[in-house]
Amino acid sequence: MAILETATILDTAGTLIVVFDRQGKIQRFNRACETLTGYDEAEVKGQCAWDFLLAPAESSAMQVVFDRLVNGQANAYSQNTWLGKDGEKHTIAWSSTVLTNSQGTVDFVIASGLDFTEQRKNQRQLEKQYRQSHLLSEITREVNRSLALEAVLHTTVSEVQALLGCDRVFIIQAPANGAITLAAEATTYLEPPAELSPSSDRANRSNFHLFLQAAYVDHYRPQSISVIDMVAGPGAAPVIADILTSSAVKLELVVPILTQNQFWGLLVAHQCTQYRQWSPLEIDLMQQLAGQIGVAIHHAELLEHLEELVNERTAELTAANQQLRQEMSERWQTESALRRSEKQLRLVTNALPALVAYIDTYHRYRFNNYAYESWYGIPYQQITGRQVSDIVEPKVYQKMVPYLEQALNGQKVTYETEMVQNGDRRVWVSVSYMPDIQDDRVQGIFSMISDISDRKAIERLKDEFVSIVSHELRTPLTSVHGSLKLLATGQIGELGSQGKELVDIALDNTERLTRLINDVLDLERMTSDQVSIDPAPCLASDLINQAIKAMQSMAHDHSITLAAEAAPVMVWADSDYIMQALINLLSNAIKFSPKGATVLVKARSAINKVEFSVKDGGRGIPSDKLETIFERFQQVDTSDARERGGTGLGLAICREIIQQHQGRIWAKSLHGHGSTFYFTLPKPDVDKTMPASDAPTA
Amino acid sequence: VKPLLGISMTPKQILMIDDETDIQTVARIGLSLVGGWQVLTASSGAEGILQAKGHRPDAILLDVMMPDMDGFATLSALKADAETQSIPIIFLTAKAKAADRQKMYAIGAQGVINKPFDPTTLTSQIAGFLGW
Repeated sequence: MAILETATILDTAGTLIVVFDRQGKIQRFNRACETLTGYDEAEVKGQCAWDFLLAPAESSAMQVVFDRLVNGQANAYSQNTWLGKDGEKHTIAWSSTVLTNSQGTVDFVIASGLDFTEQRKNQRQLEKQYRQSHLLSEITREVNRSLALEAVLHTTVSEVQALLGCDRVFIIQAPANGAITLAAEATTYLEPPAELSPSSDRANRSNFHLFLQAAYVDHYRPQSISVIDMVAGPGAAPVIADILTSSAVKLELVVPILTQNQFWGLLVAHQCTQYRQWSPLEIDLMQQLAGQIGVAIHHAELLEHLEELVNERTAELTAANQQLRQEMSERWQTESALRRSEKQLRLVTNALPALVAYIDTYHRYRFNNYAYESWYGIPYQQITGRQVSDIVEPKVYQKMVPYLEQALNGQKVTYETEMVQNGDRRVWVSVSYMPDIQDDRVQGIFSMISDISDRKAIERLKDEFVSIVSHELRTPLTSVHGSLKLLATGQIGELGSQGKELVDIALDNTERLTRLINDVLDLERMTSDQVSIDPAPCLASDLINQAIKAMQSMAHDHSITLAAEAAPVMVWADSDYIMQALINLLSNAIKFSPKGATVLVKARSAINKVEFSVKDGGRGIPSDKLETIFERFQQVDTSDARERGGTGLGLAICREIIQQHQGRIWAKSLHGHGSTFYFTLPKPDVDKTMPASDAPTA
Repeated sequence: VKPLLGISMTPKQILMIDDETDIQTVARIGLSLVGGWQVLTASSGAEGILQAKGHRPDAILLDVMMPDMDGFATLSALKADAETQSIPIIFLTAKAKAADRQKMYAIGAQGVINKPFDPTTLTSQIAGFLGW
């Protein structure tokens, strides 16, 4: 066969060429095959390839492939592994061609192959490199992603151990001033039990503790990277050699871990069971990993510091929170106490039959009780916050304003007025304003308004009663008095001396009774506000002169001289009433002055007012009675009423009259040197024809 | 009639309108004894008006507080009647208040005399008011 003869051609080809017969026996085995396998063509000729050349695992499979090839069924391409004479494996890719005879059956199979063992090696190397860089990037990513140092270290040692296929990888932490500890470890190596194994601790279970000695760590501390080969030796420092020997370590790779350029610990890899040298790539990987671990440690330290800061801040926040809670709780308690107190206040004030409110400086209700609802027909909650002028009717508000202002100036005010209830019913009320003074400032006023219509009704009844009684008393008195007068003056006929004396007594007492009734009536009218004085500008001297004229005959009877000293000044007065007051004072002065004395009536001008005085030459008034004499039936001597014909109401009436004129009345006396009664009256306001007085009296 | 106190005056006829007959009597005695005047009496405003129309007295003493028709109403009726409107009227009243007094003058009274009055000076008081 030509093909079998073309030995030269086959031998010169760089490719592997084998020619099989249809039984699979080698017919040709070219030079390239000889070089690769170490077999001579002569040695292999007539032998089947699967009997010696193929790896045992592949031989039966290849036999099947060959049979199918011969029958024209198999793919022309295949791959297998040849074992050389020296046992070396060669990975070969084959391309096969069949040579058929004239009958169409296969006589020969020509296989040409390419040894790509080197390529495979290179590919594996590349794959490994890829896996290493992948690991490095994984670990780097882990370092950057995870701030849990422990997890990073464990990932590192287990990944490295798996990748490098070594028995043990571990990390030792050796702080500058602290115990050396095992930070992480990955191992598949069961080391022989140690002679001395005091505990079950991993570090003491074997001779592992030797690696946690300062001597071991200190040896590597100044190094960059060390590879100690105990098999190939020598070169190991004695201290390391001892440790490695007693730990049965064949190969050791140690990289110091630095963080921020400070020594932190060691990354160590051991080969114990097998002896395999590490490639420069693997060493480089370890170095890079140690660098990444350093970064992770730095991150972790930062984190720890951060955590400390966070803890510190959290503690601060917790404390602040606690304080806030405390304050809130206290405030809540205070507020709830206030609410309780306000609720109680509301309960109490709601039960009161009076309008109770707190009004601020802007005339706004800040608090009001339930009574406002029944009074104004507005839900009482809706009144709070509104202006007083929105609630009370305009006329009433107009009257309220000066009193409100007076209270807001710090004065306690009480007054009576008529208010409108439920829009139609006029009701007499007593209004009291109490200023709420805090820090010398009026914050608002407490207002209390009570319905006094019952009292007013009773007063009206009393007035009516007094009026009726006085009329009913005066009517019979008129007859009695008139009859006695006619008898006493002898109009009817002369009486005997005893009869005349008795008629005189009856007449005197009738007159006294008449005066008393008149005085009681006057006083009642004035104190019950039934009397409205009707003041007008009058000349003070006119009032005095008229009073003197009216009292002239009485003064004459008592041998008293009446004198006047009046400044030419106008007063704001209801002349009838002031005349009554002057007459009362003159009457007293005449009655209490000794015969021949002079009673002096004066009027002098003062700021905004005129001061009147009536000076007598009487016995004087004890100082302790200077005030009380203006009360009803409070004469200096109880016998005065009887002896001097007074009613005991004259000065009380005077005081009422003067007070109604917004004036003041008082007395001064030196015992034994007579008394002087003073009273003041306002001057008329020229522009307004109003009294030049101040705001309403409290 | 001879005036006892020597006051020389033309005798006058006075109508006293008062629901209290005792007071009528005291006034009547006083006026007749002191002034020698003739006194007609009436116990109510209505009766007084009839008397006034019938006798045309020189003056009327009119009580304010009377049941049914008080002094003010009586005065209005008298002043509204042409026969009686020129007869001077003097109120007799227990109401001494200045405002009341002014009101009485305002509606046409010629004078106001307070109760209790003095019967011995009543003549001169009336004469004083009326310029007799």
